[in-house]
Amino acid sequence: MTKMQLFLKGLVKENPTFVLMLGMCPTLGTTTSAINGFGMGVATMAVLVLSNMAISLVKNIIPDKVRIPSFIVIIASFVTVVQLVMQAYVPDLYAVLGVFIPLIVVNCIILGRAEAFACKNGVIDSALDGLGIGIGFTLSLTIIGAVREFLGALTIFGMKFDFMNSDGALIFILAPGAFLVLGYLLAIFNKYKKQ
Amino acid sequence: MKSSIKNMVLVLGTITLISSLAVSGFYLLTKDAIEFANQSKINNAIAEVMPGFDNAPSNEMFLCQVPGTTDSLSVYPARKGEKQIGYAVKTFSNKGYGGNVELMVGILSNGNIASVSVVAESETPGLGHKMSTDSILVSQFKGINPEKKKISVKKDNGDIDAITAATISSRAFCEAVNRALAVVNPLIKKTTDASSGATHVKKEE
Repeated sequence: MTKMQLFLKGLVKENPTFVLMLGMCPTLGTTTSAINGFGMGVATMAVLVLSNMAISLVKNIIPDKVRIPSFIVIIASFVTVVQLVMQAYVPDLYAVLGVFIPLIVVNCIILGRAEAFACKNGVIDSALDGLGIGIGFTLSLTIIGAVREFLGALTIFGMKFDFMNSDGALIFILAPGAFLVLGYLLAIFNKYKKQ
Repeated sequence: MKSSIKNMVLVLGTITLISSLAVSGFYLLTKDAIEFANQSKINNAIAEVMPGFDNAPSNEMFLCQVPGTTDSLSVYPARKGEKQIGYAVKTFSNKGYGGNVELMVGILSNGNIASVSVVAESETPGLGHKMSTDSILVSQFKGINPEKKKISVKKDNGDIDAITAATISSRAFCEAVNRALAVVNPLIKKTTDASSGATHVKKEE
C-alpha cells in the first residue's frame, strides 16, 4: 500500500463511523451541532495521531502481556494533554464538549488503531493512518452535526437559513435524532460506497 | 520483548513514569492560561451585566452567605470612582434540567437588576440552552425592579415568560436570580442606610 492509499483509506474505505462503526458514543453524544462535531473530531484526531506515533515508537520494547495497559497509559496521557490545552486556549468549546473529552481515552477507534495498526507498523505509516482515520472521523461527525443542526434548528455552523418561517424539528437535536440521522446517513453512505 | 515479570514491571513502570512527567509538565505549562481563561470569562460576564464601573471587581471579590442556607455566592462590588454603583453576583441553581445553571446577575445600588448573563449551563440544546443563545429570558430581566415584578415563571404565578417547552430551565434561571437578590439586598440596605437613606429597599424573599 502506498503512503497515499494509507492516508486515504480512513476517509471512505475504512471510515471509522460509517464503515468500522467504532466510537459510536461520542458520535451520537456530541453531534448536536456542526461545530461541536468538528471540535470533537479534531480533538480525537490529535490524540489518535500522537498516540499512534508514540505506540509505534515503543512497540518493540513492550512485552506482549502488558501491551494493552501500556497503550492505555500512553493514550490517557495524550488525552489529558489535549484536555489541558483545550481548557486553556478554546474554553468555550471545552465547556460544550465537557465530559466527552476525557472519554476519548476509552474511544474504541484509538485503542483499535493502536492494536490493529500502530503496533505493527513504523512511525510515519502510523501517523498517516491516524491522520486518515482522524480526518474521516472528523468529517463524519461534522456531517452528522450539520445535518442535525440543519433539521433541528435550520442553521449550519450557526448560520441561519430563513427560507421557512420555522424553528426546525427539535427532535433531531435531541438524542433520538442522533440515531435517526446516523441511521439514514449510514444507509446513504453504504449505498454509494458499494457502487 | 519477552513477557517476564521483570520486563513487564520495568517497562510498564517506565511508561507510567514518563507519562506522568509529561502530563505534569503540560499542567504547569497551561496552568496560567487556564487561570487566565477562567478569569476573563468572569470579567466578561461582569462587564456584560454592570454598566460603567471603573474598578476591577474581580480583585475585590468576597464571599457572601445566602440567608437561611449554608451556600455562599461570589460578590463582585462595582464602583465608579468612590461611588458604589452596584454588585455583580455569580449565582447558581441546581434545579436545571441538565445540571447546575450558573448566572452572573448585576444589581444596581437602587435594588434594580441591571442585567443577567449566563456563565455556565448544560441545558438541552434547542430548548433550555436558549437561555444562553437567545435573549428571550435575559431581556425580561434588563432594568427591572424586583419589588414590582414577581421573579418566577408564569406557571408559578410569576411575571416571567418561560422559554417555550423549557419551563424547568426557566424556573432554575429565576431561582438563581432570586438567590442573587437575597444575597445583595442586605448589602444594598446597609449602604443606603449608612448614607442618606434616599431609597428605601425592601428585603426580598
